[in-house]
Amino acid sequence: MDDRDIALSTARDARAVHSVRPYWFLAALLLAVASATPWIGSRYHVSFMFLLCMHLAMAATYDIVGGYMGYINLGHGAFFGLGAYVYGATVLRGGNPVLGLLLATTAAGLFAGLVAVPVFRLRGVYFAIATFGILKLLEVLAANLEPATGGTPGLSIPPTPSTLPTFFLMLAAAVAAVGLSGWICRSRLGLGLITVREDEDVAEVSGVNTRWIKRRMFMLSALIPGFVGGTYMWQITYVDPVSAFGFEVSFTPIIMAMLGGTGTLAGPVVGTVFLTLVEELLWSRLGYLQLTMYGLVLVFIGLVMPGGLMRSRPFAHVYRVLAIPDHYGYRSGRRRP
Amino acid sequence: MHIVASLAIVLAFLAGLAPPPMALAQDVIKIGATAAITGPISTLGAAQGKLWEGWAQAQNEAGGIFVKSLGKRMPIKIIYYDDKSDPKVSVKFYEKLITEDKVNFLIGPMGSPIGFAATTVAERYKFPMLLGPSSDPKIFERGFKYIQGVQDLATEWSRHYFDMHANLRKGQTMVLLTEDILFSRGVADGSKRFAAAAGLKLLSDEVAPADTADFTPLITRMKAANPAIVYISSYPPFFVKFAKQAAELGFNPPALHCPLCSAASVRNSLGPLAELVTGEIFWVPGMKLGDYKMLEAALQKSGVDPFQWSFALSSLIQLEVLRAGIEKGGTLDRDVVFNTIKGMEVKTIGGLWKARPNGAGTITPFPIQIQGGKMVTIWPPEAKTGDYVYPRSR
Amino acid sequence: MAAFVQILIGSVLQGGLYALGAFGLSLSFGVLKILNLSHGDFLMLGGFGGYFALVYLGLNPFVSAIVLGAAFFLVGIGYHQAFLARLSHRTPQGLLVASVMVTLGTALAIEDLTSFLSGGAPVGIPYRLHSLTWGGAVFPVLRLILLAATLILTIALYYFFSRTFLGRAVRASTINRDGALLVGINIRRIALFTFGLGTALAAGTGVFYATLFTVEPFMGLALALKYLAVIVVGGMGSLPGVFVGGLVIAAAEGFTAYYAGPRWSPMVAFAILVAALLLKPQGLLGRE
Repeated sequence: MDDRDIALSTARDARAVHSVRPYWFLAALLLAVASATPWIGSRYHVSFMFLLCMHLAMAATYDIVGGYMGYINLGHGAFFGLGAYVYGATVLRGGNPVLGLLLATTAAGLFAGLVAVPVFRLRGVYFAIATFGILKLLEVLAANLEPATGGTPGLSIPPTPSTLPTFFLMLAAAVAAVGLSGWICRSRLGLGLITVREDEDVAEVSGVNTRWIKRRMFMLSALIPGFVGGTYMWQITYVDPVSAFGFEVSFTPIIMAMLGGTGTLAGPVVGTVFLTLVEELLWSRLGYLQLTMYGLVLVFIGLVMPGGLMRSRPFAHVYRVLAIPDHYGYRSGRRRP
Repeated sequence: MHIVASLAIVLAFLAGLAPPPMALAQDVIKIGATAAITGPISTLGAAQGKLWEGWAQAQNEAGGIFVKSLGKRMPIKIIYYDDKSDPKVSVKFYEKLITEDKVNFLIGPMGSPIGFAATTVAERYKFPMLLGPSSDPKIFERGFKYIQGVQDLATEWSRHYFDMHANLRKGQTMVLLTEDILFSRGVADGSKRFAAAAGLKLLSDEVAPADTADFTPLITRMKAANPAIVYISSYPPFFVKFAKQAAELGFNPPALHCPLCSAASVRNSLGPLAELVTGEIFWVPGMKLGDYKMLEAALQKSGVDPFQWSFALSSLIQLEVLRAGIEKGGTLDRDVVFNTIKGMEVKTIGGLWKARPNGAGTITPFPIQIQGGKMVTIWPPEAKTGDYVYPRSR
Repeated sequence: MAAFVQILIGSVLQGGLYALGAFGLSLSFGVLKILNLSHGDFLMLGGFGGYFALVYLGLNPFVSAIVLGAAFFLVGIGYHQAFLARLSHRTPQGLLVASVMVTLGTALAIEDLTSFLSGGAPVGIPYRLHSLTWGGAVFPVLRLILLAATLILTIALYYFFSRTFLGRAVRASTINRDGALLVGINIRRIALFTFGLGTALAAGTGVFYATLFTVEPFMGLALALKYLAVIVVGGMGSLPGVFVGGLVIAAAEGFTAYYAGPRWSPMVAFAILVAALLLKPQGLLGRE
């Protein structure tokens, strides 16, 4: 049982995802509760949810290109960082937050469009390394172009009195990201993406316009991160090259998506929630060696559950209990055509 | 079936949101903060938590702090979290300290980038916060009303050192190399001013990235300029690389200065090359300013090496100032204590502290020189434990 | 002019050091197709090991480099066997994802544990050799020795891979895995050996890294990326290519630092990386 079979069955199910219905109820309920956090929880919970939604939005949008299309974009965080800086620069020059967010989102999309042309000439590992190289390049540029970015000391904007607007904006971003992922999962476009992942040359020959699809999806996957970056800047009010383009910022959502299961709808969600909760409830209590545990979890998942949590056998039982339909063939462990 | 499952998940979520049980009557003074125990900044701040615990232990053994309004001495407890050197994690935990742990007072994190973000929490919640090793001028230019720093602005770091030069007049020319990091740049900005005021001629002024591995180009240029003083505004690893390569390339300036040469890693990595290098540090064993006995007890209990963690030491001054504020204000009411502090003068281990109008403090470190493998303070006369030796090359 | 020469010499020496460190990464990537993000951490561990060897055992860096190299050869074999061997049966896509997760996880765990156990402070080996002056330029002897070692290593490895059976077996398994299996090559053992060799080289380089600079617990990931640039530019799968890549990048960084200012040199390395990937993904000497 390897990724290939899973992917093929996923592709089939992408078109027959009729049983998304039970998801709706759960999703709506969770959304209602999440939206009520400012009133039923403390301000710390709001802060916690803010970060959770941020990671979720980033993980789900990463998965569009990284999971469905199979191009591991290690530089996904660049869109986020760019959004944060553009928002900061706009607000410092007198723009209002709405304009800032608009410009942040647009900038990320345009950047993605620009970069897509050269970068999609590569595939596989080379693509991953190139995107990583671009991320680091941006980090260095941010540090050196001081008049525009504040250089290494970073950019700082005045804080706003209330964290409510940013909370809801981030929640909206997370919902939009997951929704986008879900829409792709069910659409013909999504099927096209998956075929590109499985065998790009065959896809091209079969009539899929791979060049168009790669470029468009790359740009699409950049919009929400740009928005998220702007919202982040609005809330935290400070950004510097490291917090915008550093390893941790970029890798964390990717790891969450991989952990939960790339190329699946619930994968990034499960991965993000799982990691965030584990970190919050378990590791913060420990004081030391948190990063070690994080690393060990990664190793474990990489070895034992390469398809992520969503595709692993132990979780088949969990899904059965929760009556989540078996899309991915995990329950039986093997999925026959 | 799905409905049941969904409700189960939602109930679990709500349970997680439940507020923690109400705390009992106040019987301990809770002070909250985050420390950079892991991540890139941990080379400066990993010991901060242990230092705090050591100080709290020493203070409690001395009977705690006397609070007049409650008529009793109370022990202190410092609650801290690892911010992983990440500003947004620090923000999250400071909010947690305020809303869940319900601390009485807040002290500051390590470094200015984290400090930038963390102070927004204080200002948003209108919860007073002291600041220690976060001294970038821009932090205090935002007009925040709920922060008070213990250190003077980073730009003032080498003030005593250049004061010494103005008085002793050893060496007339200087080159400046700055590591491209927030702190080093702040220090360099101020040092340029001080150097000019002390009559030193600045021959060159360069900035290099933190992960520079090959200093040959820079050293080649400096050698040609032949300065008397080489001032490297950086963290220890950068300086160590520079010093090693300078020696390799035969560049031996009469005076070599690095603000953070006090770190043990400098002496360990350079060996004899570290001899007669100058720098600055807040406190050296042997100095008798402020509550040095408490500091010595704290160091002993925590097992922390003061030469390794000079930044972290400055964070203890926050506790000295806080204690003075509680004792004088006579209450645990945050705002009263905060206002009391702002109007006070406190004799601390780092010298006399008072509050500046913009929210910074007045503590700057004293110049030191590595002599015989040990460090001595060399200026000003009332704080020094040794004399400045110039030139370096014998 | 004198400055130019000095920069050139410095760059060559620096490039030699880059190559020394990047060999191991080239081996594991070229042969095993595994992107080993934990490579830099083995270098870091070698540096720490060298420091303790000097402080507690009085061993000079040359000796401890060899000792640690041998020790880490075994460590590398163990690491590969325990973690990476089972990844080899995956599809290229799955392999990439899995190797990123496993090696990144290992890297983070190693860095954090080292920080916890060592106290987190940077460490450097206080060992010095003199410098030669010739014609106005200065040549630090330690670096010259390292350069010579790198050259010898390059030649030795080249010979190894083209003349010995083991070496050719390694190359065969790179070019065509199934073919090599058919011919009777024990791919598993080859993989273990190659990875062990790569790790040994990393640890040995680490000792010298700590002598010339400092090592700190969290340096591994950034370093691995720098070495990645080196092997991509030089050509993946080509050992002389690693040397060339190291020289090119070091020279670019050195001259940029001198003429444009030190702030621009990190950008140069990544700009070259991206340009190389876009213009000539096989690298200067690679043959894919």
